[in-house]
Amino acid sequence: MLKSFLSGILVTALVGTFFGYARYFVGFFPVFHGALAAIIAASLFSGLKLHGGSTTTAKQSFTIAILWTILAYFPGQVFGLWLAHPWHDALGLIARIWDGSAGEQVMGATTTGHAFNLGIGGGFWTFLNLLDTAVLLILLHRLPWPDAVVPQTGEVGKGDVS
Amino acid sequence: MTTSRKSGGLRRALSLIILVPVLSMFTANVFTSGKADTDAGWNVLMDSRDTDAAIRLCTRAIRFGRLAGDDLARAHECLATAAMRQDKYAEARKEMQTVNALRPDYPGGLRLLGEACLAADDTACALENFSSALRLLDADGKAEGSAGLARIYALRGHTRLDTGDKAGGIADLSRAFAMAPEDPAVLYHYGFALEAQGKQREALDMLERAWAEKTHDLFSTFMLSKEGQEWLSRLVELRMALNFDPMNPAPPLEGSPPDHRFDPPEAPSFSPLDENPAPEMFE
Repeated sequence: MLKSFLSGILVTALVGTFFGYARYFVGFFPVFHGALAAIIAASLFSGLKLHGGSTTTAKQSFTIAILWTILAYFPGQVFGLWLAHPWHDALGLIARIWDGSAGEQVMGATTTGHAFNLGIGGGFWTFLNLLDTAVLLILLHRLPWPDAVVPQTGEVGKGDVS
Repeated sequence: MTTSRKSGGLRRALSLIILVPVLSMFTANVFTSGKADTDAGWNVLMDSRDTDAAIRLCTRAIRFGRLAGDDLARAHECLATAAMRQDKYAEARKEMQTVNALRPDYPGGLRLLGEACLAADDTACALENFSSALRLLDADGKAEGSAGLARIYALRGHTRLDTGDKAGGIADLSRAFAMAPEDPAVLYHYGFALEAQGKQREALDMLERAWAEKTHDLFSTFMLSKEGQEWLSRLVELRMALNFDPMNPAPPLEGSPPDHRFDPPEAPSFSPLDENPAPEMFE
């Protein structure tokens, strides 16, 4: 269990680093960004069988997803940003975006299908990041241990029903 | 059906739904032309205060834009200018050294490197680079005046004054003033030469003129800039030293060029209605 947890940390950190680096140059695509990161991390984790057959309950899996996100994904993103920035001023840049004196390029699509990108900072940027993190957490929780979830008493459909 | 099959299918479906738009945005953003990114970076630097956006665009141009030669130097110069705006003088110097290595015959690069050195209080480095720029532009000292050349003379003159070379500083600043007597930056620096000669009142007059020129536009952000704050603090200091109201402009010296900038627009001598009489319905 500990081994698979640590393997997950490594995978999530690597994915976070890649996404932090790419995010600086490409921009931030809220929801899709977190979803793609979760899918890649989960695919690597289960594809490489890093869970080693470990089983988790739904609650454990959610706790693990939170820990991976906080301990590996976020620091990985900051590290990726550090690598991408020409003078490695990742924390300074995050602080400036946070207080609204700078903006991060945020992409999206309108209901009419037009793509847009804007420099967004401050509270709305924080909200978009929280939204993105929520998607990441949900998918990380659901995806990495698909065939290792132990059925819970009274919970239908949580385990192997074949 | 097993849960693993279900989750495998779910993962594949999700991957497809997410990958397609993300990859299309990714390609649109990464495979842009380096030149276009550099242009966009410069535009951001000129039009807004979000220097981080300019840094991002110019870094992207350098890393992914397949630039070389002058184009690469231009992207590094964009980074250096942005670094100066963020008070990152060591980084600006590093970028400008790259620019100068790529374009050794570019006086603008030497001038910006000199300014970065000056901002970092390295006057020896500043003097060396200003002098190199002047050697390229005015090797025999007989070049025709231009605002750009005058500003380099002004910067070198001011730096010379700071290092105690009073005669050299006054000579450079006088030459700058002779070349561009209306340029606010030159007027500002020339004021220091006048002060060094004991002409404090004349120095204040120069500064008043420069300040009025730089701030007459209501939309000017000069007052908010670091440079603007330096000018204002010197202006107030000089006004107080000469017993003028620190909050109001000192009266112009006799013989100094008239300042028309604050004159109200001349009222028309006749009303447009005189020529176009009102229609009868208004009579």
